[in-house]
Amino acid sequence: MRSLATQLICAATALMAVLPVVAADVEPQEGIVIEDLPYGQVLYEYYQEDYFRSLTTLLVEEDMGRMPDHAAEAELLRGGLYLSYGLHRQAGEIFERLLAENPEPDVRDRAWFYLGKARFQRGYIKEANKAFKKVGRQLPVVMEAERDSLQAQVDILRGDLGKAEQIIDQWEGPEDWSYYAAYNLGVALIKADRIDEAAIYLNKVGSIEAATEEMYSLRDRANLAMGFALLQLEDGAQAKVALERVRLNGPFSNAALLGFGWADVAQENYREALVPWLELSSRNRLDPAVQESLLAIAYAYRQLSANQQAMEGYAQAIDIYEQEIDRLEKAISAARSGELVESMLSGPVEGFSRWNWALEDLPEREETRYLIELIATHGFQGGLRNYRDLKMLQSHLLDWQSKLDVFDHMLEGRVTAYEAAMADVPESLRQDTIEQYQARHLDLQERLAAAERNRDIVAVAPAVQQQQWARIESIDTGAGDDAATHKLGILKGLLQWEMEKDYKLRLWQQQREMAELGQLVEDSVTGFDRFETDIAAIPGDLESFQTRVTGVAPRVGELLGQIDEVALEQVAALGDIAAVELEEQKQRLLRYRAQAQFAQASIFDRSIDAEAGL
Amino acid sequence: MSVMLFTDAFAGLPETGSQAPDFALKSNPGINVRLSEYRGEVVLLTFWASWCRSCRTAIPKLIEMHGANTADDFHIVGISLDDDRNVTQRVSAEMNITFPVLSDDRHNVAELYDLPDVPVTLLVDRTGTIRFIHRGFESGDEQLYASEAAMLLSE
Amino acid sequence: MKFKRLNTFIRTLLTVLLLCAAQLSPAENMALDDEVQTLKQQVLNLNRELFVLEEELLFPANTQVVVFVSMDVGKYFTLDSVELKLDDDDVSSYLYTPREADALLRGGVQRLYTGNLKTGEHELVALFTGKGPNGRDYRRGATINFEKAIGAKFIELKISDRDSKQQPEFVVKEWE
Repeated sequence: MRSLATQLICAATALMAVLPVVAADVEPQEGIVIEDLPYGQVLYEYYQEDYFRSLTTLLVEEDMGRMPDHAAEAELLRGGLYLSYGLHRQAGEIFERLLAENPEPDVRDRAWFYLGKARFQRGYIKEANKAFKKVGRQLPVVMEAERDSLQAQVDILRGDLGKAEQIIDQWEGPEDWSYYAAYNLGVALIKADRIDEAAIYLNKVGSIEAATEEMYSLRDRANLAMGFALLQLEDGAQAKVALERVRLNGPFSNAALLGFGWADVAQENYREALVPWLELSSRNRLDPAVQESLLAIAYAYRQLSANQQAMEGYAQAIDIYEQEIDRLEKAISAARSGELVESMLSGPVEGFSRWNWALEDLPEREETRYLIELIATHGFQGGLRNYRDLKMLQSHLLDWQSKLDVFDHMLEGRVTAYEAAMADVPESLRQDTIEQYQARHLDLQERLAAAERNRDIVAVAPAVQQQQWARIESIDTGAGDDAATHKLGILKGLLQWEMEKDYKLRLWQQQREMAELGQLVEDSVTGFDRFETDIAAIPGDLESFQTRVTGVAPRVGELLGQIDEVALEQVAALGDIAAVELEEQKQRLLRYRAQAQFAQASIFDRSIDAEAGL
Repeated sequence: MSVMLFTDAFAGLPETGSQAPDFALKSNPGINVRLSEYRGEVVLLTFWASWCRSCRTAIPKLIEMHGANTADDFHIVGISLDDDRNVTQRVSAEMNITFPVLSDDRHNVAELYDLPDVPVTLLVDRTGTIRFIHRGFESGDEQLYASEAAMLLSE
Repeated sequence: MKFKRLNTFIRTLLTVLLLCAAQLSPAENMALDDEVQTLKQQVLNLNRELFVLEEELLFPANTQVVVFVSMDVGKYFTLDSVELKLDDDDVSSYLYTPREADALLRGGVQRLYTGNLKTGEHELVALFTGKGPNGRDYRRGATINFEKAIGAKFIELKISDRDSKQQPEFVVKEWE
């Protein structure tokens, strides 16, 4: 027989593993010097709580090897992000590998801590304890508190309450983490029937000054647990003190109201008990606390000997229970068919980067209010989170599918552009042109070299002089014309003397020009070679990209298919969990109804007896 | 400055079901606001300008809606297309606008959203998808907006 | 006991309460859970591969140039905007929200711009605006002439007041 109170408290403790609700389970070290900019980029996205993008950047940059100086930090962060993303096993592997590489003490301590956390979240308490024990003194201060809190919880689960008490009693540093541990300890002490000790811790948590929803929630739960524990001891007065602290308009107020009534009953103030219970009975009937109040009210009337009201009360309760049982039966079949869960999950969830889903995030529909108990269970939360994550990944992959299309087009475009460019290559860059230049240069070079070897003054002379020389050489004065021959001889001599005089200079000039020309030709050749290699590379590059793009597309499609399948499986599993829960609720209502009927019968019998004078 | 920004009617507003193009603009108090930071929450974006009559009818209704809203994950954001930020500020103050008003004085966002005219009101869901688009404004439209918002909030 | 029913009620309640307190058991369906985790991991890996492909396709290493923005200032400087001009082209005009500015203050580094450049000389003009501790407006610029060789070029624009207290300036660092 479980009441709403139970469920909510159960929920709280079930969620203990991932509380407080920070979206990520890891804190990168702040204030370190960024040696590799990409690591800074990972942090930039992380600090904005964009965890998926941060993880993606991290994976890409690690793959490209662009964060060599932050290898250990990046691995830690990756493990932590995996942990937040629910990849406990993989996270554990990362930390174990990191530890095997014998890292620096501060990295080592953090790795042990996260490893412990990963194991804890998977439920391997003994192993978690072993890991936590290995954490030294090098843990950053902000993480010390969390470590102590987790250690305390581990101790509680191992049954070593004394150790847990020690940790909490000697707590230094930020208080928030200690409250979770104190709450768990309080609850464990109640179970061990050490109510007085439990009271110390639960009252402390129950009186904290809350500033966040988490803290308010924790405080409510602590007061509720305390209140109900005291009720068991029939200490109505003290129970009220605790229950009064529960928020009037919070999710636990109904349970608290129920408890108030019982506290009055413990003090035999049945009339007073009616006050909170009547209030409660007017609230949402889907709420089990409200359902119980109906029985409780009739019970109180009975204690007050107001048998008629009691009978009416029971009759009304039976009525309502039957309505609810009906509704539950419909809900159960909706759950079994998957309809119920689907309606809860309807609405787009893609692109949503925050990974944690709390009660408050769920849609405000009738069925879901109904399922508060259910939703809070660890199994359901886990399944729900899986579903959301898968949907988000699906959306990313769909985006990639369209992008791959774009890449395809782009590559086609590049191929076309390349072919067009090749058809349009300028003259200067054509192979045969270059060869011509080279040949000509070589030819000139040889002629100049020959000229130098033979001290050929004519060869290096300017064109005008060469022409004159050629003309002189070709003139045949004929024998006998001494004057002409003589004149010619003088001209020739003059010319020769001119050419001689300038020979060295001209040779030097032409050699220099030749050298420059040679450089020009060489540059062209280099330019051409580079052009050739660049261009030659293009088709290969383009082809390799095209191969990659076409190769990866089917893999995207395949994973999309798998996501669909697994998501469906998950929905079915959630449906099963829902059906089981709802079935339990139905059983509870059947029991209530039976109790009401029995009580009715009992009153009826008594009244008959009374009439008969018995 | 002409009354119509573009002559083409219904040029190319984004389609419902598509991602709302992201942008960042300065708000009245001088803080920069980026649309994508509203992910996880529901946003009503309304493009308006001081010279647009139906905008002036719409704004007070939106102010009421903002006042009546108790959900802390629903936001009304106004984007003003006035060229001059000072004008935007003055008019916003005159009209007692209580929700944030962003200045798109360079019309970058108007172009991004291919606005045919003003007012244009969009409802963006928690994943950043545009779910409803409304052009123009008539008294009573605000109730439609309210129920659309409620639907998006329930997701 | 007077409150027989009370007793039963409370007792059962607490038993279940405490029972579940001890229960940190993993998700009920381990096999399915594992399937989901494996699938998630596969998608993450593929996702990574796709990002790498995209970068190599759009911004090949040889021509890639990336401009990063980082901050090293006292807490009271709020970054408002950064504008970038590359070879006379406006390539970026970014407005920083409080969340983004805070991430920078905590040591994050923003990848502001990624593009492609030919080898040779180029000019980057950067301008930042912000508010200092006294609400004073800041506006500072820097012009960087740099050489693009073969291979990716990272340029870090650090807004720093280390060298001139409370007077933030651009400190430029080139990485190859």
